[in-house]
Amino acid sequence: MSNDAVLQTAGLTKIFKGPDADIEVLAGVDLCVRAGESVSIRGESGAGKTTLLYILSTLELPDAGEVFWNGESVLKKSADWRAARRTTFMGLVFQSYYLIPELNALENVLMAARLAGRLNGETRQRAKDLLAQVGLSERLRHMPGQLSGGERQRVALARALLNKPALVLADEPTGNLDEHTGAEVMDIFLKMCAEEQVALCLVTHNPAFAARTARRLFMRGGVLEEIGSHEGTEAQR
Amino acid sequence: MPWYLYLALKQLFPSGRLVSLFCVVSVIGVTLGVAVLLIVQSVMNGFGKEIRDKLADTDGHVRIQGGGILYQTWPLVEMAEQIDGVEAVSPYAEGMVMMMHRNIPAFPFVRGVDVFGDEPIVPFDKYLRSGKFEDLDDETVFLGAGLAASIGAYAGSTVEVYSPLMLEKLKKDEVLLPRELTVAGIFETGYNEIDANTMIVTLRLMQELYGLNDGAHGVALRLKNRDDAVKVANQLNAQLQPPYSATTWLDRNSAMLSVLVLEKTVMSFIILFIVLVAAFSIASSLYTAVVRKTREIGLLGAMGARSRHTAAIFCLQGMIIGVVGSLLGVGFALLALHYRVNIIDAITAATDSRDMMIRFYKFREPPVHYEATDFVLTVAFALVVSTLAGLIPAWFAARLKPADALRNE
Ligand SMILES: Nc1ncnc2c1ncn2[C@@H]1O[C@H](COP(=O)(O)OP(=O)(O)OP(=O)(O)O)[C@@H](O)[C@H]1O
Ligand SMILES: [Mg+2]
Repeated sequence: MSNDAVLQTAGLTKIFKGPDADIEVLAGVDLCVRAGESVSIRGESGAGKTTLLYILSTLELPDAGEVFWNGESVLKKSADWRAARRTTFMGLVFQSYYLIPELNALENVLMAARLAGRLNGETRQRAKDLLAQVGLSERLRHMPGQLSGGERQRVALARALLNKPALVLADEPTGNLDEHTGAEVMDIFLKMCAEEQVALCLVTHNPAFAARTARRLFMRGGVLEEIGSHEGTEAQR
Repeated sequence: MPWYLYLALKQLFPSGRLVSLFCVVSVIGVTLGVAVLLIVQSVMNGFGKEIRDKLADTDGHVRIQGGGILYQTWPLVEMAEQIDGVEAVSPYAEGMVMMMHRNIPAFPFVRGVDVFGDEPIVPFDKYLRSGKFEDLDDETVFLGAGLAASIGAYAGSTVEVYSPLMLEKLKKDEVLLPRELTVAGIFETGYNEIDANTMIVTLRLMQELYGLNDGAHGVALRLKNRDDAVKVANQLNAQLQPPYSATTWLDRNSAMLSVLVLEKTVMSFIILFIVLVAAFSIASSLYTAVVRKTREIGLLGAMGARSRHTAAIFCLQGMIIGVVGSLLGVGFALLALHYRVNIIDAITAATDSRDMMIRFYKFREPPVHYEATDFVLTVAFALVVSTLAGLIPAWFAARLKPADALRNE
């Protein structure tokens, strides 16, 4: 096990009991993400990408296999321990933004600090800074209903980064946005993850976005295939 | 502030808006229930207290009786005077007589009271509509208002009284001469039972009418605080030998008093349902919120929220609604009761029924009596019920698995 792996899995298996037949969605997934590394995962619809992200964050538990966060095996820990750890260890971004409609943009971002029990002047300032970095310095007190889709996803992004996580898991973060806005948000997203030196696990359908990550994986038949690194792409050209 | 309390408050009072509609509607429900409950209870307490006051006033707080005529009352009087909290003690005699005024007969109940004591056991001054208590002597009588009206007597009229003793004389074929008495005044307690058939004479006149010589039917006590009645009666009973025994006004009026209590209990029970209905509406709204917010609940889980804390968001909302609703309900009830005269005036003026109101109910200002236990019980009930109303949706929220909730697109 490499020392600087923020996230590592070994032989993850997940079988969903279906009405007709059992579906083996994951069939032994081995994955290693190093600190600050960006990894993209592509795959057919229904390949099991979302399922994999849920298992990586332990929102769902695998039928077999191991998950390590910062080298620590987490599946045997209590659910409370994992929940507490999740607040500061990882940020999650979803296709739908899931902002809390009763809170304004700034308060939504600060929810991450509240959940981690870290609400203070410092995190407030950081929330404002992050919102400024995603270009929303004029929209701090806007309610989610008053924000466009792209703006909402940027708020969700700031929320995921607030507690300085080691890892961000993103499930098609631009899936609900039009091409232009999607590209804009993805630009900001990749730039900020790089600036914050956060490891990124990005599920996307868009090959152009995948191409901008350091490592590219493809999910097929319940396992991950490496389809190239930056060096490899360079060589192919 | 814990984040779940923060979210609970924010869902009731969202940023940018003052308050959510759900919050307003739910709080109004609880407020109405609590307010109506308190108003009804306090007014019923008020009427109840008036009736109890009259029962206690007119009856003497504690009585000592000895299964017949007591020829020596002074040892009992002395014994009673020794006891703490006793304000006045005097012998009394009572019974039925027949009375005529201008050929209209009546069969009133007569109370013979000792006018030589420092203070009368029954505070007649409070109830006298005409005449002065000092005017009561062996030749005069006070009539209850209803009794006076039924025989057409008024202050200054002369009435003829026939006592049971005269029947004895009648048997012996003696000449029967009624006792002629002058009406010295009219009293009205507002308690119909008493006003319609009671007359007051001096103890000496009663002794004469009933042939008691120096005897009496018992000794009546007035206490400084009528709530001590049981205590005083117990102390007396510890010293008294049979056939003597002390009874309280509570014993003698137990049927009436238990009806009063029952009436209030039943009324409160019925009105409690307003609070219950309010709680059901809270529960259904919160349950809808849980369903509507399934994905946000999933997100909170993904961000590291524990399911019991997520559940607390909904439970706390019920509780906060309970607290705010109860406080407003208490405030509203106190306000409405404070301005009850104005409110009743406004209603009767609008419906042109003021005269009728006064004629039928004999009041313009309904009596009110606040009891701390009513407030404590009502508020506690509202709090418990609305918290429970939040608990059921909270349980559903706690059962949601974040992954399932997030997949719930
Ligand atoms: N709770 C569940 N119960 C049963 N089957 C499930 C459940 N969740 C997912 N599946 C199945 O697992 C498979 C993988 O689902 P998943 O959502 O991971 O796909 P995906 O790769 O994210 O697809 P997409 O690109 O469309 O988002 C699907 O065939 C789906 O039907
Ligand atoms: Mg998916």
